[in-house]
Amino acid sequence: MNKKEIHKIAPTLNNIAHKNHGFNVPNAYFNTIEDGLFAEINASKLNCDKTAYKTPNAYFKTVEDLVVTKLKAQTLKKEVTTAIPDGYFETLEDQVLTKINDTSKIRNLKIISKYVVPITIAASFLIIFLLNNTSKSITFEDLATSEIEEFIENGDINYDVESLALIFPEVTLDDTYYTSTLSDSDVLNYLNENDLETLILEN
Amino acid sequence: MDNDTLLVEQLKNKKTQEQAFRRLMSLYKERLYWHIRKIVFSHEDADDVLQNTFIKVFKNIHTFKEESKLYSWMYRIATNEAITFINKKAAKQQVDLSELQLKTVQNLNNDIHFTGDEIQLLLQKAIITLPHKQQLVFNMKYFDEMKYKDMSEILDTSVGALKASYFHAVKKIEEFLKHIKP
Repeated sequence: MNKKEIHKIAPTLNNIAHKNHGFNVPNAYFNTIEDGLFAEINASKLNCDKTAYKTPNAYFKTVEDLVVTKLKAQTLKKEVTTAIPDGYFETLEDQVLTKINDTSKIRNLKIISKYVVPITIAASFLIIFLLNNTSKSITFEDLATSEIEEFIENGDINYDVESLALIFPEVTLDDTYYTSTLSDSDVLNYLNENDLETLILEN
Repeated sequence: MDNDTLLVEQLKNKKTQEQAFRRLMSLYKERLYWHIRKIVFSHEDADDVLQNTFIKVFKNIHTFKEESKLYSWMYRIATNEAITFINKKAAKQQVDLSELQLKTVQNLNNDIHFTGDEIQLLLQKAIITLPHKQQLVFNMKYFDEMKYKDMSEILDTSVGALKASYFHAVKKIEEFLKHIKP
């Protein structure tokens, strides 16, 4: 829209002198503007250097929680440390001495146990080792005949003639070595109580 | 190589940057200032926004791709800075932008840096009744006599839309002035 067109549709507007908006500026404002601007730019450059420092990720999101937690911890510590039991300082020495003594016993025990345990373990291993080595089964072949005869003569072996008869059925025992301990009446009673035919058949 | 290209080259070169920047400021400071001033009204606010604009230009000159004119690029930065400024100011005062503008214009008589007469004050009151983008279009066309092509680059709006917007702005202001003017 040119000036002629404005004149037609907006004559009042067209008549406003020199199209002046009415605003003005302080004296020499435009003469000093560059210096002011460069001062501002240099100042902002310095600020840029300061902001060259970096913070860890999400630092500003978490810093509040960290501070609050620390403050709470400090408050708690203060609360804990400001109150002490009655007569605390009077009994303190005895308590400490008692603890020292207990500590020394514990220390002795610790010293003992420090050495005993390894020794015990070593001994156990030794025993196990020895047992393993002596666990070889002994047979009659390992025994000398003289050792067996000596064993029997010493009466270290207990046996009865019936067991011998079972073990050595083919051996005829010499009467002189066989002594009956049964009486005649015992034999008769036995025969009366048992069926002879059955006895004969069994034997 | 045209003047703009040469200036941009000097601005991007650290050795010649300061000198080139001073030249840039001397070339465009007044135009940018008045553009900003018509948006923010107050001289102090305009001074702040102008400084912010030039600082932004200085820091971001390496990103300027020369797809548009240097002036259009700077003008766009100035427009955005001014709009951001007044929006922040309105938010701080917990009012909407129209209310802030109304308060400001009503106090223009008390502003030592406003020496306009009654009709010029009335014109400012008329302008703030327009939608915000239309205010920009009106100011840039009526007071700065900017070409539609340049306005299109700055406001990222088609020439046709700008023409239509200006036409409607002029009509509304005329109605306001006729209605109010004694």
